[in-house]
Order: sequence, then structure tokens, then C-alpha cells
Amino acid sequence: MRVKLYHNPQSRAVMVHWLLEEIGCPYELVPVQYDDGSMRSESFLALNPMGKIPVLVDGETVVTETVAIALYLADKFKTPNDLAPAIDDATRGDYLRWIAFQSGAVEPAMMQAGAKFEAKRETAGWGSAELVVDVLEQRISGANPWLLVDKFSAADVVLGGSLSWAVGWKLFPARPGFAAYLERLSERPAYKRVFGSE
Amino acid sequence: MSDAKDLIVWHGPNTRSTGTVWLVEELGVPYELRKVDVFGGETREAEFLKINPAGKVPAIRHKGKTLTEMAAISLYLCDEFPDAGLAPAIGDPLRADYLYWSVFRPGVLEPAIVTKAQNLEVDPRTVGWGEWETVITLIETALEDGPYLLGERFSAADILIGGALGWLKHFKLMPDNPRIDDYITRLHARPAYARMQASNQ
Repeated sequence: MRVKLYHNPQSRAVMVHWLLEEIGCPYELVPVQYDDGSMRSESFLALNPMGKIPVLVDGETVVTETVAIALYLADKFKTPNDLAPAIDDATRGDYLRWIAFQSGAVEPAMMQAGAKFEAKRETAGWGSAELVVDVLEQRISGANPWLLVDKFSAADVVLGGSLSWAVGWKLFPARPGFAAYLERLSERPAYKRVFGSE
Repeated sequence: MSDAKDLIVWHGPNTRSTGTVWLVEELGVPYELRKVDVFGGETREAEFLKINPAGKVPAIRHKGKTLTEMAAISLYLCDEFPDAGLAPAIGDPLRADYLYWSVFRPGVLEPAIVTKAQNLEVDPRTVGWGEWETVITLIETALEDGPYLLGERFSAADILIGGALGWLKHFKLMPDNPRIDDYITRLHARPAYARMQASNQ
């Protein structure tokens, strides 16, 4: 059975689209528009009461939140391409760490950078936008070639995809430590299939 | 079997790492607690930055590997110690909801709390986390069907979400809400929660 991804090319759903292309499992995109109120419709809110995309539907299962969707897909669909270390794999912790860093730190830091609001460093779970960029640069510059070294994983798609977006929109500075990694990501065939057309 | 040396938890009393201490108490596995003086600046010192360059607790070390980010720690430990039953396994129909609520804490609830507490203006269409009222309604709705987020089944997601709600309540950032208040009371009655409280002293 195909999984369904509720999608708009101007949304975070593009990361999930890219992930599906990397895994290579059968899927279909369900286009959702921003300007016609469809994300506030009753039928859509039944899927995601937050009125947000991405939303993934796999049979009876509905998954929202980009990171939850990525973890779900990468654990469930292992063919043709396996994008998650198994639960007993020594790299599993690092994999979870950097996927979770996307929603817990990168997302709020991007918004903070975009909206230029001040949040108290001790209060905000992510610290500050500068700190997040520093930590990211340290980690990304050591990704050789990927976060889990030889294994390309969903963490590269989620964290790398976000970083690419943040740098592209100038929310984050284009630090020297990011360049080679982002270049490697953009050369992946699945990346080109998704972003080449959007 | 593991011994205490296999698992280290760095904990700043009265910080977000209380949730991680609560979690390991629920897991019932041996661990070594290392207290860090967050408010005295210890997490910004070179020694701690080697553990977490972001200078934040919680952080853990398990089997010689360091892990940070509370949702990652929670997902990791529950899958490492499946006998505790705090996570529906891969393939379990509840797994998707479990993942959702686990990442909801850092991805939605945390930034929503900060924007709410500081009265920050953000465009709800742009931010990944949405509006405060929607966030609370969503949690309330999830608790309609049972005592926990996954219905009858207590999971580590309750520690992540319930822990934040308890904290909000404590700091009077959340108005009275019978269903959520009951949920917090239920969670705080757990023996593992009480054991965690002792670690804040």
C-alpha cells in the first residue's frame, strides 16, 4: 500500500518528500494549498488538529510532526534503502540526537533568527540562535561524508534539509563548515528529483 | 544486565533534566546521577561543554556514548530497555502517536511556552509549532480517551508532555483546566516521580 503525504512545495513537507524519495518506498503526494483554507477545513483538521503539513497517512495510521514522520518512516520502511540504524545499533543514539535537534533547536532558532525576537537563553530550550548555529557547524563540519559517517540516514535528510533551507533563506549564516556537506546533499539523485522540480 | 556505570545522567536540579531523571526512575535501571550546577554556570564551563557543546542538560552517557536532547534521550532509552514497557515497539499501532507526542514536547510545546511566557509575536502560519491555545486544546483532546496520551497505556511521552505541563502549572503559566490538572495529579502520584523529586534536593 502507498503511504500518502499531504504536501505543499513551500512547506516543511518537502523534507518528508525527499525522505520518501531516498527510501524509495511507494507513496503519493496529496497537494494542499495555503491560500484556499483547506488546512483549516474540518476534514483536514481531523487529520491534524494543528492545521499544519506535513501529514503522513499509512493505512489507518496518521502521523504528523516532521521528526515523528521521519522516525516512523525510516523504522518501518527498510527497503529498497534503509535510512535508520536499528535499535541495537551503536549509532542509534547519535541518530536520534541529531534528528531531535532539528525540531527542538533548529526550528525555534530559525524562527528566532527570522523574527528577531529575544528569548532568554536560560529559559529557551534551544539556548539561542547563535548557539544553535555554532553547535551545528561543529557537528556538520565533522560529517564525513554523512552524520553517521558511511551510513546516509534520515538524520541527514531532516537536519541537512532544514539547514539547507535556513541557509538558503539567510536565516542562518552560510558558515564555512556547512558548505561541503550541503553541496554533497544537493548532489544526491533523490534530492535533485525533489528540489529540481520545485 | 547493565550496571550503574553503563548509564550516567547529568542533571541540573530544577531544570528540564528532571524529566530525564524521572524517566530513568520509571525505567527502573541502575544509573549514576551527576549533578550539575546549571544556575551557577557549570554547564558553560569547558568540562561540561565536552559532554554537550550546547551547554545544556539533560545529557546522558550510555555504553560509552554521549547523548543529548530530551526527546532523543527518551526515545533511545525506552527502546534500549524495552522490558520497562514505556514505548510501544516498532510495528505497534500506538507507535506513531508515541513518536508524535515525544517530539511534540521540544518541537511544539517548548517554543510555544517561550513565546507565550514572553508575549512574543510570531506568525502562526510560519512557525512550526502553532498557537498556544491550539497546543493546549490538542493535549486536552488527546486525554479524552483515557488517563494517558496513548489512552490506557502510560508511556515515556507522558513524562515528556506531563513533565512540561506540571512545570507550567507550578509557575502559574497555565490556567486551571480540570482534565489537564487531573492528568498532572495522576502523573505526580507515581512512585518514580517521587524518587525523582528527591534528586532535586
